[in-house]
Amino acid sequence: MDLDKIMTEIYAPNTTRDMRLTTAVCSYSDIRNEYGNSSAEAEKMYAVLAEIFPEMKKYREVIDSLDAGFARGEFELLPGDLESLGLKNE
Amino acid sequence: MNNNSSLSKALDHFQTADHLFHITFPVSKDPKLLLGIVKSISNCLEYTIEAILTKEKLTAPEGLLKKINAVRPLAVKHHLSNDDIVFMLRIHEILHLQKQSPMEFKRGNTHIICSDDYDLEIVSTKDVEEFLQRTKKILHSIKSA
Repeated sequence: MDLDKIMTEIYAPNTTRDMRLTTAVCSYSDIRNEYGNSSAEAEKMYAVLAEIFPEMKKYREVIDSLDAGFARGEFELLPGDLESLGLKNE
Repeated sequence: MNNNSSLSKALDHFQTADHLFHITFPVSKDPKLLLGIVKSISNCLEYTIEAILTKEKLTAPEGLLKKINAVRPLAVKHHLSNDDIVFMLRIHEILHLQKQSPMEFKRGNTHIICSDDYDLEIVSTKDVEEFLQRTKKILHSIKSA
């Protein structure tokens, strides 16, 4: 993932702050997927984006808590889940 | 619109949702699609409720939430459980939150809808599979009634 490209997208004309922040958070989430949560690439991007958007700190916490949920398998469909809800998967 | 026409449209939307989930999603792997599936499920539920209301010779109001409220007094008669009503409200809630949300992003196989207060609505493949199965059950029960 190219940081310059993301910065170009963030500073594109006719974008609102909300749109730029969305680009920042999505890019940060993607780079964590691509290189690993604590990778140098992800940390570098976070440092740059957090300078521009103070909200990045909160969003990083949100993503950390989501990843903790993934690690616990909270969002996976396990055998018996549907049956326990009375919904048989045919 | 008569009862059969509403049910036929409900079935169309269900088939769209089912196709998107079982055929398109495994190829595209884009969690954003999960929201599209939820929207199709919402359309399906709207037409299903409309079929019930038409059968009862009542006018169907606009929007899923108003339709859910209109069908509530008839729920037992039409074999809709409390869990079915709660499920329909959850579908409405997800789409409502999405409209209000300043931030959405994907994480793993999930689509995250984040509120202004950083409250999260997480739509996962597990959720959507459950939504589809429950919708199928409701549709089947209304069709065979």
